Amino acid sequence: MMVVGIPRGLLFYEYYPLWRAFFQALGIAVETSGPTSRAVLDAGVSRAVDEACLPVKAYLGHCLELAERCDALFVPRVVSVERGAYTCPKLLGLPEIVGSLRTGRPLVTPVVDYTRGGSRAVDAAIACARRLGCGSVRAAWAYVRARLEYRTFTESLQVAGGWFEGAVAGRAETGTADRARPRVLVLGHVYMVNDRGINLGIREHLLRLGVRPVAPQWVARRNWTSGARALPKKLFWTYEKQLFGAAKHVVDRGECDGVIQITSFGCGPDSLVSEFVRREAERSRVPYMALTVDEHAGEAGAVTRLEAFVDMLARRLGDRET
Amino acid sequence: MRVYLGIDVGSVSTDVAVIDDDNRLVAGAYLMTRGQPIGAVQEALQAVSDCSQRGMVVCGAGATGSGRYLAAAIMGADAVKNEITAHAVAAIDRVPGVSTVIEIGGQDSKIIIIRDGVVVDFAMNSVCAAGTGSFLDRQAARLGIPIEEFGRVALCSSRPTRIAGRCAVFAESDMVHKQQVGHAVEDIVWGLCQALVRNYLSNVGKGKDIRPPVAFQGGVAANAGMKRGFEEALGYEVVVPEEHKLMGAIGAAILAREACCGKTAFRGFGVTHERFVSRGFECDGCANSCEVTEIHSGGSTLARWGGRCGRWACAKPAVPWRAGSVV
Repeated sequence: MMVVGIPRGLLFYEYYPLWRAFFQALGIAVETSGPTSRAVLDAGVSRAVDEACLPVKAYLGHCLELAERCDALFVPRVVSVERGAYTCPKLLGLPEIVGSLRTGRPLVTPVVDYTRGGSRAVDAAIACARRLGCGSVRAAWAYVRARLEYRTFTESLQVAGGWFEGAVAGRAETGTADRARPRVLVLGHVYMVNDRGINLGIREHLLRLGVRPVAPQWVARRNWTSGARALPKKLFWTYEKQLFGAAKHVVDRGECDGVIQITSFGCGPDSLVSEFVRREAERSRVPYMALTVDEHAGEAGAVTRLEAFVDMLARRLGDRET
Repeated sequence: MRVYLGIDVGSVSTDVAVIDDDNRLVAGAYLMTRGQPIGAVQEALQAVSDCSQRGMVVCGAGATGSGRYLAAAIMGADAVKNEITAHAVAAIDRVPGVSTVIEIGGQDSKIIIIRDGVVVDFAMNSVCAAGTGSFLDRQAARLGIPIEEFGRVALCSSRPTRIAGRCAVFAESDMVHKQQVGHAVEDIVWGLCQALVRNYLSNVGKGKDIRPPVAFQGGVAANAGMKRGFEEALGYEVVVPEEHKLMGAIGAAILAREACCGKTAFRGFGVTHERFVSRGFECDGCANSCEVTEIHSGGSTLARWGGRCGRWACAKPAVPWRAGSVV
């Protein structure tokens, strides 16, 4: 049986349940790379151009690790997921970036492009299945099944307040219900917030410090789109719109006591949008902190900042009660 | 008399403070870490160890700074806190109504915004060390001026030379150039102070609501040129607390006093004579290759940190994994 390898990085954290269900319905085995480790990062960093952001560098490391264990690498080209907006430039050029690795494995690169009514996800799925030797009808059916599975996943994030790993494993979240604990919105791209190897373990540190972390992915689409309308101008990038809209929604409704935005040093769109988020938080008098990571980032500096941030929240909350 | 001990183990200096129940300083010391944090902690404790002969009983101990977990492992601590909280707590106690804290240490600089006695915002320099103590040290040495004189020399100038302070490397080459074309040393030194103040305000202080009273603390606050630079840039007086070099340690001591309930975890001044051995190794358990560090004394492991998983977890004391750039 053919084995398709899905690297554990970038949009993996957004769509993996969809992709997995699709390939399984087609009878194609799926293999993924392991969690981001030092070895994976080092391998990726050594093969990437300097200007790439850390998640892209890690993604290359995952491709290298996975190439040994699969027949083809699944590297989609997600140009746009809605009309009038794009994803980030590095996602647009991802197949070329990975192609430069010369892993010796063919790439399966479906194109998803909703700009100007182009290639929709279902078309991309069918084209992808045909490339792997499956018929169109079977592919369409597999896609419908995968969408159903994907809905269960997004619901377990949004309704139950889950995190990626738990939702993928179909596990109920065991978060604390202690209402006295401060809630911190951990704002960032899915591949930053959910990848422990990249984000310096921010969520684990917050849990250790007695904080309830809140994920931007808990905010439903209709809520973040309405939040994003507060921007003075339409943004070009869907995922940035989602980040700002989710932050606005959560902050406006008083569903968090602080916001920590974790961005990659090389992320152009984030550098712009984080300023909007900071102003929004300031306007609502919610403490905001930005953490920037790259391959040189030390966990010690991040821990100091996180501890100070949590101390600050604790003092503020204590004052509000008395 | 009941006293509380605080220690701040920084990258360049280590300071210790002993305070009484009213937060008054009864003993203190400031010394260089010299890349030997264990020795520095022992030396610092030795410097204030006569407290016990003077009838004082240490009822609580606190540690802060980048070496706080190491210090806590060696001496035993009731409070282990980050340096931002420690400096804020000390400033709130020492400078009435303080609204802003400017802290510049050996390798990092921070700003803390305080309103009504509560920290509301803060920032730390990220990767750039331009303008911190070690850079000033280096420039002072290059110009042949003892670091203690640096501030006084700056105050002698009335025609500052414009230095590019954005980056330590560029600042240095700019200073060399200004020397070559014949500017006076005091003008260059004063120009450098102004450049570092500009860099601080536009980098660490970017977007922060800086209001008086401003407390200026940390080792660099001893530099009168930097104080004057901040006062000219901000347009009002900047307060340098009398104990500015010990503020981190005082904060840690206050936090220890607040945290202590009953028996203290402090192991006593005997630890200054104990022999501690630390070693670091790379774990080969998985692809993460965590750098694990451990401290031994008398055949037993006091603490161990650096691993992401539980493999190297040590029963006591509770030191968070990957805690820091210590040893």
